[in-house]
Amino acid sequence: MAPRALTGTWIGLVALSLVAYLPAIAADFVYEDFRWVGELDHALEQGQLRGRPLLMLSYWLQAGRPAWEFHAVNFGIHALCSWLALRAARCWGLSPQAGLVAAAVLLLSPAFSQAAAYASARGELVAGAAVLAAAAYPGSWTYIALGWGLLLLKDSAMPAGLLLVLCGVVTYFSRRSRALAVSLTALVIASVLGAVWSRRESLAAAFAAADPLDALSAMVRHLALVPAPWLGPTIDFDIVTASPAWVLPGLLLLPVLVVGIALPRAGLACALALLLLAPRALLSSGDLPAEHHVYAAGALAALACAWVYDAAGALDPREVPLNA
Amino acid sequence: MGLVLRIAILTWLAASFALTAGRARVWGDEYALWLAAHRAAPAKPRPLVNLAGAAANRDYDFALARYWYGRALDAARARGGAELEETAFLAELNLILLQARLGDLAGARRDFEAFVAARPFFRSEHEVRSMLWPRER
Repeated sequence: MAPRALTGTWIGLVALSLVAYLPAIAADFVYEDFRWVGELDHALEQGQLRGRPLLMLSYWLQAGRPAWEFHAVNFGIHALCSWLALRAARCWGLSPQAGLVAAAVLLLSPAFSQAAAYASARGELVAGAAVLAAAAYPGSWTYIALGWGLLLLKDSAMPAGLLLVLCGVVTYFSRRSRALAVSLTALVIASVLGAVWSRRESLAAAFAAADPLDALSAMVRHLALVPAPWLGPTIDFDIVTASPAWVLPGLLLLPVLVVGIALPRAGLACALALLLLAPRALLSSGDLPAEHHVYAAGALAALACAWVYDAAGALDPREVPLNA
Repeated sequence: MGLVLRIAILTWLAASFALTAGRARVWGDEYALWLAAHRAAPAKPRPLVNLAGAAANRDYDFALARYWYGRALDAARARGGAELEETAFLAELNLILLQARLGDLAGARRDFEAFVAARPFFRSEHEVRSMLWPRER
């Protein structure tokens, strides 16, 4: 498939998705939008800038604008994610058509509608875009830049940001000095352990209140429904307001860092998506996570659909994968 | 690409488009959104509280809002704990406001005084205002 045809088909899919999303884009704010977006000055006074500086900055740039503009920006980020999914599929050696399958699933599956339609879900959209960008454009400096973006985006994205920064630093230095890379990794692990120890009582209380199995099963069910949403209801609409501590999930999933040093491309993206899910699953205070919390993991489910498309033999033998 | 695969992909595209358009319509109307949320999780009080608020906000349908607040309180009592506390706060406060808007100012004042007396510490004015329906524009 020629690049121009690929881009043209993707634009057609975005246009189709835009038509589907028009009622949500034209709508007023909903639920917590009034608290965080509609009354931005108060949210900033309440210290929201400390927990999520980049996210609040993006809202601040649009302060005072009508609701449809916030929704339009969210849809724009969603469309960007579909392009990054297409690029990631190509980067992993899948065919151009498979990349379009990933983009189409992302743009048209209703499993992503809450993230695209809810102005307050912008943080999860941006986090998903960062994960996909790391998969689509691998490299030390990309990881470091995206990782810092995630660290500054919002509290629940911090474990993924930490992993991405570490991967960037380790891959940069590992080419020059393995000893330095190992020392740096050990230093970060030690500092995370120290942070966990200092907060052990509050973390234990949060862990005791959580119902991780319920939350995990709901998320797995939702991800399974990404390609076939008509088979069952998506996860709970009930939007939770848990404020999870991020250190413990980060520690639990630090072994993934070992995989990250080797940098198998899909493995890193999966690890990042897991880290974005972990705070919601482990420390959700008994509430189920909402649909937009699984956006990044859902994007990887869309990429899995692309892999299935190629694995099922749909690849035209005349098509040559990007990195073949 | 085989004919069967093309038909399957086109069918998937059409079905997904229809479902997503349906969800977007739901997100375009707050009352429809919380009604769908209530149907997805009938035992949860939070969708019911928000459904009541959306009813008051949309058509100033205070009778319908009062009905949903009552249902929310029933659901919260069945679950207890923090959910009951949060739901009771929202529902009782908004029911008092509805009472005043429906003209029963004396009853609303009496209930509000009892509401405040039952709580040793009260939330900030801004936080309370953000919980009130219909929304201030």
